[in-house]
Amino acid sequence: MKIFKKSYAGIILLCLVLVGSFFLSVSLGSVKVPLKSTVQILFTKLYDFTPQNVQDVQFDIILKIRVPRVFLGMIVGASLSIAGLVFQALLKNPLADPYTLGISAGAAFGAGLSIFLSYVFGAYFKNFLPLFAFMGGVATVFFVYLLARTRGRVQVLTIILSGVIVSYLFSSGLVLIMSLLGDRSHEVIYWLMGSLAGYHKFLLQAGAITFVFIVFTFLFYRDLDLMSLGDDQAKSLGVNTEFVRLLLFSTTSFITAISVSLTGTIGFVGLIIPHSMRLLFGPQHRSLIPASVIAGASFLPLSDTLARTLPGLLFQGGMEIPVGVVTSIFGSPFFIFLLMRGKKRYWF
Amino acid sequence: MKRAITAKNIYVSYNGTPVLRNISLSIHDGEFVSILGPNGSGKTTLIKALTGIIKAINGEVLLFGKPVSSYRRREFARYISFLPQDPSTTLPFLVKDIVMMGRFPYIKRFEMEKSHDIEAAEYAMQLMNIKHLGKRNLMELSGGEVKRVFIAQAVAQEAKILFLDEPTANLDINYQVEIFKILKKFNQEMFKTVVLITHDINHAARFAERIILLKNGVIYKRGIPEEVINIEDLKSVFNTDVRIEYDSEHKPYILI
Repeated sequence: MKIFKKSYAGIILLCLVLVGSFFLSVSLGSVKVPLKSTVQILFTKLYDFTPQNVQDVQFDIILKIRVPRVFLGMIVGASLSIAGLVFQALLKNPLADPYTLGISAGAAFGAGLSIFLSYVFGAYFKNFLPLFAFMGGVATVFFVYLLARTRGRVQVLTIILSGVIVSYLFSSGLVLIMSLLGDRSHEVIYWLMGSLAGYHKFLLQAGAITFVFIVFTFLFYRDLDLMSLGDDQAKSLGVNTEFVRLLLFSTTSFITAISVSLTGTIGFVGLIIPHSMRLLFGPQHRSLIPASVIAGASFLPLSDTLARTLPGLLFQGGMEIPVGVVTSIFGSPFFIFLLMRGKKRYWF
Repeated sequence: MKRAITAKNIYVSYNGTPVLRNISLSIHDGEFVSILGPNGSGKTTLIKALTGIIKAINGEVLLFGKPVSSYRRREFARYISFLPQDPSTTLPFLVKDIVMMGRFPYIKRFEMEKSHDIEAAEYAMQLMNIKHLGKRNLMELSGGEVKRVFIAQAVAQEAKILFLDEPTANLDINYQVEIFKILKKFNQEMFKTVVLITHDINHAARFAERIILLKNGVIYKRGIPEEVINIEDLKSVFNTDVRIEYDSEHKPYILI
């Protein structure tokens, strides 16, 4: 029967969007590098030829500043998208996002703590900021999961409630730190807004780990489909529901914590990308996981490019705006457009 | 006959309140068994305990002589399928996707659906007369259609034993009879074991080989329909006066 046939056209199209997004994001910025030169510069790394009419400074801008930044955007965009998708499926809640289990609050507390310690014990503590943020995020998720576990079973509603409570706990801890820091708390506020500008060390390692975890999560696409039927029926169809839930919470929380520790909290990506992709590709996770990963990896670098270039176009040499603001301002109308167009009613 | 399922002294309680007490029963391979009983008598809990969805606090459930806990989930799902009372999904899956989910226990993690999986799903859709709905969204369908889709899913699962919790609730009378006939065909031609909960005493009496009558978490009576369906026992369990007649095949049916 033909109805069981599958199409890959949509995914291939998205891959082209990703490539386009990469070249566009790398070539656009406050210093204009023509697209042709950008392509030439990128290919000198791969092939041994020296392009003409390209200045050395353009080499440095492209290879040392923009490519790492775009790469970071791709990692974070992909991580937040798959995490949002998995959280929505596992918690059966359309409003779930990567931060539902309190990762952002925990990571922010960790980051705030390292900034505080840097003033008390010496500036070198600031080098540990990503580590502190990462550990804060991971610790929170474990805490929330343990809290929600009663007699070996985990209720979905209890998880969401535990996430909210633990988030409040860590948020108050952060407010305490900020009040102790006084005037110097602007560093924490800057971190909270989220930016791709800051941290460009260990990018290859972070990218490799994220990629492995994404592929691993993908292997459970059928389990995720079945868990939308509810635990009882998923179990009777052969899904080891408790194990899958714990495993996928762990993998997605881990890559979210990596992302947050490198960029701060960037909102909305984990919500808008999975929902848009669900409207375009339907609910099956076989196509939904790759689609969300690729779309997220395209969307965040593009949003960051706007954050870098828009103030310059409007006010002549203005500063950057936080990328989280761009994801929301440009994301929500797009989301509304998809909602009004999509005739597949669900969850709304 | 071989014993498909054996339960020994099962005891289940929710928050300290006992729901099932000292239930011992066996279901033979190839049997058609109906579980009857008033609301709150523990029918659904019994089915969930027998299908391994909830664990009994005391007692033991054996599947073909081995404890239920010794089976891996996927392996278990090839022996037993379970249709809950009110099957639904939180995501807008298409009918064909829902039916294909029944093939989960057969598809390895690194593999795609094979032609046999597609054939099984097609056959199940044809049997339940939902082939024309294949590309429709589950959330656009009527209650009766949704029920048929999920029965098709259970059929595609190709388990030896089918457990169904009120498969005909909220269905039109023609579908009620149709579903019982399909289950009977399953039972007789394909040698599947069928265990179902129903509120319709007449359907149970007409189609089931054996009836288990529950009251307050214990088995009140069990046996062939002719033994269980009698005025005194029904009065005692359901607290209602009924009249009993016999059809041309000497099966009892009740009049209220």
